[in-house]
Amino acid sequence: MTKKSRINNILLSIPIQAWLLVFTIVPLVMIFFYAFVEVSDEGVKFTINNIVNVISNDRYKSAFYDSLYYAFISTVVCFILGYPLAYVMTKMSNGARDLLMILLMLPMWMNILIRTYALKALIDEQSILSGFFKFIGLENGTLTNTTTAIIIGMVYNYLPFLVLPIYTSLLKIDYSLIEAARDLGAGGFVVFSKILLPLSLPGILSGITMVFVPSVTTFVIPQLLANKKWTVGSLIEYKFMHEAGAGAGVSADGSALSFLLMIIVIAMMSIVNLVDKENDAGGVV
Amino acid sequence: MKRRGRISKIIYRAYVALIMLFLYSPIAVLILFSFNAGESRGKFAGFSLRWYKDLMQRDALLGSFRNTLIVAAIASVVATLIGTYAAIVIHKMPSIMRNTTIKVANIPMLNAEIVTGIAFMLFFGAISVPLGFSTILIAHITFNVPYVILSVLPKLRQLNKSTYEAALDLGATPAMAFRKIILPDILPGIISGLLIAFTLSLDDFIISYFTAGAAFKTLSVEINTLTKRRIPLSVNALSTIIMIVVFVILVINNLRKRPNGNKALIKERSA
Repeated sequence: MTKKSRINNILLSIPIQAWLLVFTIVPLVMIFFYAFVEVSDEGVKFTINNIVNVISNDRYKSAFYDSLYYAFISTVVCFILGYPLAYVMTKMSNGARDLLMILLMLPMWMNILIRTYALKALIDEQSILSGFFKFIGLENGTLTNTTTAIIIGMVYNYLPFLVLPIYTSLLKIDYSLIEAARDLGAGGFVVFSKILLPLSLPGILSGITMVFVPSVTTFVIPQLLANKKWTVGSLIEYKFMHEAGAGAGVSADGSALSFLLMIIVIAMMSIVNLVDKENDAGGVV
Repeated sequence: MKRRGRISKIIYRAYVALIMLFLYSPIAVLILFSFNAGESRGKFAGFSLRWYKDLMQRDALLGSFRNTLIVAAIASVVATLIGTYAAIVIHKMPSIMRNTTIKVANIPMLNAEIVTGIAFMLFFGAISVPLGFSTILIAHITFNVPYVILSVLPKLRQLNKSTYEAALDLGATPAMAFRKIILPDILPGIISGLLIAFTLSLDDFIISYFTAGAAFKTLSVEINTLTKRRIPLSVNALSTIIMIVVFVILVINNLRKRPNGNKALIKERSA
């Protein structure tokens, strides 16, 4: 490549860099800004009080704790349910596979609100299942407003996000490796832990991220299924859309919460990247 | 061995059936109650089409659905243009610059939706742009662009560079060479990027919620206002219609190009 064409290429990329700067970086900077300033009559002043307030507030702390807890449990449940499903899919005939793929993707085309509302209709009081809920000992015949409802809501909404990437990475595994291991006397568990698990790790990691991140940040699911429980997402939504005045309100607490949430997401991604890289370096293949 | 194979096949099928039961029983109930003659979500009072008739009279609901389609159509087309251009210039960048640009471009895809939504709301507030059609459109374009880049870039990497150079040597203008040589090769990536963008826009609630404002509502935002009260069963009717249309499209799409259709989408989403 000549020097001239290299400069040319960089010039051509300016519109894209400008686009990213204005619509990706600047909006995020706004969150940093409002998380770290105090706006008063005297003007704008840098402060860490907003963050300190949020961290030292018990209600916020328990919301953070609960959100992480719900997201963690949901991710684990999704993995336990989803990994075998992805594995089974690789064993099916092409036609069955295609059909399953459509069935997995179809709910993703329905809005999360509609999906969650459909689920709510099943677990609410006076629903088709309330007789069953009473039978297993739930007093009001409903799951609504319980932690279980939130977990079910998250698993129901995000399970396909975990299955599909794992399925893709399982498909790539050379089946002769598994046959060789079996011939050499390996049992099911050894095949799983020594071959399937490490070789599908990239898919597992991306699947886990795709369940964990929306679970830890959602406000729709807890609001619809358990409106008495606060999560970080529902707190942020409340701060910006209800407390600060509907629409375009500025909330110091809300910005600080969003900032901390972003840190959690970044931390999660970094861990995943780290594990992924290590795996690349010392992997079997 | 053969018997073991048969047993595990039965277990596999039962397992898949259980998961599908879990995923589809709420949807089945939703569809069933769209035909309810009564108003309850819990008691089925007989078959009727009253909620489908009711839907036809709900201008707010139908209008918001039209808004959703408009936003999804414009946002996905614009995002495809921007994303394809971006992929081409990113492909030609020196590697350090390329990696940083890709990282920044991916932020809206990886970040929590609520953070992206709040960031946009604060941003539009700070530059005093009232929330409405244009703000929701910009937000949708922005979160769609990385998915387009992601589906076009791999196609660019697979390109055979020498055919493009040969075309130039034979007297083609760069524009002509691009149209005749590069475009046909990267077109599948562009189309799958467009489809992903359209789907994501159609499905989005959180980012729309924070950037739509009071005047312009998409379907999901409108449904959210309805959840504050009791949702009428006409929403079930509308969802049923949407579901059936999507199902038919997916099946046709699948029959049309069996080998690669779905895999591309999954790869994109999982990457």
